[in-house]
Amino acid sequence: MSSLFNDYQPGKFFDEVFSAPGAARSHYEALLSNVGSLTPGDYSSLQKAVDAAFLKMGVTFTVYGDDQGTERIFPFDLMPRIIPQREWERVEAGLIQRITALNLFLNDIYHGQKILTDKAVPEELVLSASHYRPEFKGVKVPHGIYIHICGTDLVRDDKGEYFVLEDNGRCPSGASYMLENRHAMKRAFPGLLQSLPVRPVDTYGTMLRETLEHLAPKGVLDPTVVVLTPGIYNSAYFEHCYLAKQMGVPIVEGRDLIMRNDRVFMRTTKGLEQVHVIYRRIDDDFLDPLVFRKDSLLGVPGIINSYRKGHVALANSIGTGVADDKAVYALVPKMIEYYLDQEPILPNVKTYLGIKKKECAYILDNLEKLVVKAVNESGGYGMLMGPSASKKERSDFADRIKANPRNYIAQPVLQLSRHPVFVDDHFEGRHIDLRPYVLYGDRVRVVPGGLTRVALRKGSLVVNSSQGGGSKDTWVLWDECSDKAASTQLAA
Amino acid sequence: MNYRITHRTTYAYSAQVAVSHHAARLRPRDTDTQRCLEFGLSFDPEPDLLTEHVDSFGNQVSCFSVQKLHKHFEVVSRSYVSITAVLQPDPLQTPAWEDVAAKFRDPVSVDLLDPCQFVFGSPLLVHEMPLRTFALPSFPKGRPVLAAAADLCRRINQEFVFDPKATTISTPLKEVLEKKRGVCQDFAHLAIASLRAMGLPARYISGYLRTHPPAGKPRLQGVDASHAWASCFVPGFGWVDFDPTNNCFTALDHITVAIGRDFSDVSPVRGIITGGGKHSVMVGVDVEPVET
Amino acid sequence: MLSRVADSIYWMARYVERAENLSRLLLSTQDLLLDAGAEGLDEEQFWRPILATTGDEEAYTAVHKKIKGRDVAAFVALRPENPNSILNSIRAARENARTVRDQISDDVWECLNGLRLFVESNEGRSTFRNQNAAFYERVLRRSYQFQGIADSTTPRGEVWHFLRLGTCIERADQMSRLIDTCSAISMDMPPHPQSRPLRWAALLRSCSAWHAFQAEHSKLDPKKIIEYLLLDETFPRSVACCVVELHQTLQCLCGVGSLHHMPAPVRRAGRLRSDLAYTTVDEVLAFGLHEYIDALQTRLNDIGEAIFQTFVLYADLTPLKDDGPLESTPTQPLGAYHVHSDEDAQIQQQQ
Repeated sequence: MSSLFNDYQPGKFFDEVFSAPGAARSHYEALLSNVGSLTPGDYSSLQKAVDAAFLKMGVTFTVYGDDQGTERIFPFDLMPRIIPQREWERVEAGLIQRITALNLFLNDIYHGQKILTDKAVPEELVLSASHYRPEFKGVKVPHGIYIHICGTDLVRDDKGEYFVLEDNGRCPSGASYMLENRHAMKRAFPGLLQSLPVRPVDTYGTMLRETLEHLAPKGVLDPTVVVLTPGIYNSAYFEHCYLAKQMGVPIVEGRDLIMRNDRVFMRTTKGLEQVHVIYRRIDDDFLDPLVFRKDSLLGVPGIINSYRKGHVALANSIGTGVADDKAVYALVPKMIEYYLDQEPILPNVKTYLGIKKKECAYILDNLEKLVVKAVNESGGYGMLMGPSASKKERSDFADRIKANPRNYIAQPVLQLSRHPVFVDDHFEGRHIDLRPYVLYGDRVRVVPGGLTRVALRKGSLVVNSSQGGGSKDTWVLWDECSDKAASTQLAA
Repeated sequence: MNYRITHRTTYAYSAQVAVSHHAARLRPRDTDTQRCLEFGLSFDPEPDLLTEHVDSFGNQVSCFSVQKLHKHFEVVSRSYVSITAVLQPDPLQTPAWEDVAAKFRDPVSVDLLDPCQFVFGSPLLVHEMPLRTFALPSFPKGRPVLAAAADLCRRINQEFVFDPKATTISTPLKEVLEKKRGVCQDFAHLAIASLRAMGLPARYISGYLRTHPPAGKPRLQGVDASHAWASCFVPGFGWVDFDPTNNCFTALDHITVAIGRDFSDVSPVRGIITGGGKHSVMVGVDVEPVET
Repeated sequence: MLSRVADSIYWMARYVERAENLSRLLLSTQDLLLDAGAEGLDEEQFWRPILATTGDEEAYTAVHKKIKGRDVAAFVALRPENPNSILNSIRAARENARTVRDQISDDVWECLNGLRLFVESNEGRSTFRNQNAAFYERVLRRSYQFQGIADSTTPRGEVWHFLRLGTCIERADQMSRLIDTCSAISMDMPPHPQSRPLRWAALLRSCSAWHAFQAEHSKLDPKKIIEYLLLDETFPRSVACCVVELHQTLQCLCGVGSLHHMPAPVRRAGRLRSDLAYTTVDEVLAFGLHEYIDALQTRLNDIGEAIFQTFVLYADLTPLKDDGPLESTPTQPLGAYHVHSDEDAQIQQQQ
């Protein structure tokens, strides 16, 4: 056993690398023998080189609530997280099942609402979701798909079991970090990546473009695809730009687009050019001031009308936020049963709904044991970590819940799995989650791996970048004996 | 009772406008007691594009765009509407408000799916504690739901001052509640938010109100205005409209144009322009009763 | 290419060029002061022209009562409140680069990002405090590096053309301002007659023309210097040389068509180019140097405006009237990032 990991303590949590102190899981052995042989000094200079490269390249995000609009790098920990093939297959199947059900659900509630009239899920939960868009009922969307790009957050509990923590069906971010992380790893450990059967992720740009092109209006053979960004002050601007570059398509702002005859055009130096597919990274509310928020300066007036008529396609579609609602999340297993007649492969975390009287009472009585979340917040905002919160914080939150119970849900505190992270000159365990990216075009595809997010603060369970989180590269391995599988997969 | 209605919206811009997009909800609805017999829109300049669709609340939406340089724009809707007497349930005979609210807590029956979408917060009306506090006195235990709504209506009418200068379209309800001043839109919003704060469905109606000239004076043209009121759901009967601005249930004088969760769902003419500098808008409504 | 992208590239290049010119101006003024010796010199007379060049006299006097070398230098270099400072020019260049990162090479981006990190860092500030010449040198080097990297990594397509447009027009503009600083005060500066050539030497140095000029002319004749910096087509920073490239680049962008149907930017640049080619320095001086430069700047602005109207503004909606003064059509900030464009950042209006 190598020196770098000699003193590493997996603790009482599920550790991704060590099943017991000094006992590495088999899929980590090759990595450990390589990384472990480095001295702490070598390792930390590698880490510093990568950090410097990220800053220089501007691989940054913007922190809100800071006057300067400070850009920071998203901290990156060099030691990769590894997922063996068999484990991944189950995750992949679960994700495909989930996005399929979510899309059937969205298509249903924006058309016949059969799931509501059949009483399979409580309608008041769905209709009260603030991202539900009644304005959009009855509109036919290309191929009936609403969520084309989904980022689903997965966690593992103290037994190593995978759970879905939340679905991000609006504008999931982070894919660029997944790609940049891999890029950095290739530079830091070229030999290692070559010797291990790590599945590549850099096809994401091509896959994304194919997914988007699939949506093009009928008869358009060579569609013009663009990425629509709110602009450089958006926290994820780096990503918007990065993905546009990966796909080889223009990145546009609302002011670059103009409507003529219900079609969308971009202003170019040579005149107007029609746009067929828009990967929009602007929320529904800001997309079209003629339909949604009037004060939006980011959107394109009239674009919804064009979408309604099928002259332009939007990814993701309008109103997908209803599936992100954390109370609606609780219904996903029921959707899977209702639409697919299957058992969910990836279970949900047990969720208590504020809108249900009994469950609300339970939440209020057990605040110190639960994580309470506002149903429409993300990025770690609007959250109460019951066990670590002060008495005052808890009672403040109780008031908020009582005032608007629909707006809150609660879940038991999961002891997320941990992974060794390099701190100063040694490794310590930190909690992690996983956000894989799912694309739904002519079929559903899952990028092998995704973004592993790390709660860098000791003991913290919050992995969001805005709350002191970092990330790791995620390696999904082919099975040692699955060269055959690899070649068939490639052929497919 | 029949009406001939003209609704004229005129925009003037200080500089040329390159493109303008508008979405209008101007066609009076067909309801149990109201028929829209004729309807037409006219424009100046003519739009390059005109399309129509029905939104999810059943309102007809006309979208039009002017794509040539212009310095003013006018849209005029003309409609001919026939209204028959409204059958009103006796407020005291309606079910107790708690029973109605209970029907909209889980589980909700399937035939209440439509009113159910009007129980929750909406774009302009988010749930807030002060509203419940305001509403409570009108909802003593066991009071029939329509009687409670009528009381709410009376209180808004008596406690609030009609003052067009006090608020704008974007004034939040909290401020209206503090100032005790506002216009019909604010009062309708207040009534709706109060009902919803008690767990009851309520919706927003935009339309026109016939004005009666002072005795002996001729009716003046173009002095009428768009109006707004609220609607409360009574199980077993349906929606009952009431007008907090005038403290009454609606009758032959109210003409319904559009229905939604709040003003943002039904704004009569909404527009976005590119270029144009400063702009001004003038609205003229004329509601002419036609004896039949 | 997207109109906004074109505009951002154009302004990115302009702001880099602006930062470079400001640095060189400050550096040469400082040298001049050293050469001239401090005795009996009115500091104000040395530094006022700098503020005149950048057009910031008013903004400066709003902050400082007296014109002092140290204050002027700090104001022009690092003052965040001064929209035209070196700091803000670099920020603006970098913000524009950020919006078009997908269009420029990573090396160009890293160069600009590195420059911004430097001027905003403590290191940058302390370099400026302790040894401001080193600070200016650093900005100059980076700007040269930017030009070099851009030159060797940018495909000769639209990106390149808009880069060159921005560089040339800004350079011509800065040069004309620089010459203008000598138009009013040149003959009575400095007080010692024997040091008079110093002022002219400083002018040449502040545009890196010292050696080039010396190679062709033996004497520091003010007339020759003006001719060289204004009308010579061989020296890369002279106004005429910039306008020639401007005209050629615009022809590339618009395609060469019938001479009678030239788009406004080509026509305007072409006309200015031939005016400069067929004008003598005596004519300029007879007309009045300051007046001539005033007119020249107006024409450069008109070219810039025509570029904006043709390539950035929605061309087919607001066609340019053939010739005649431009109608001031209301324009939304469609294009690039500028330091103080916040107030009118409204693209759309609600009604």
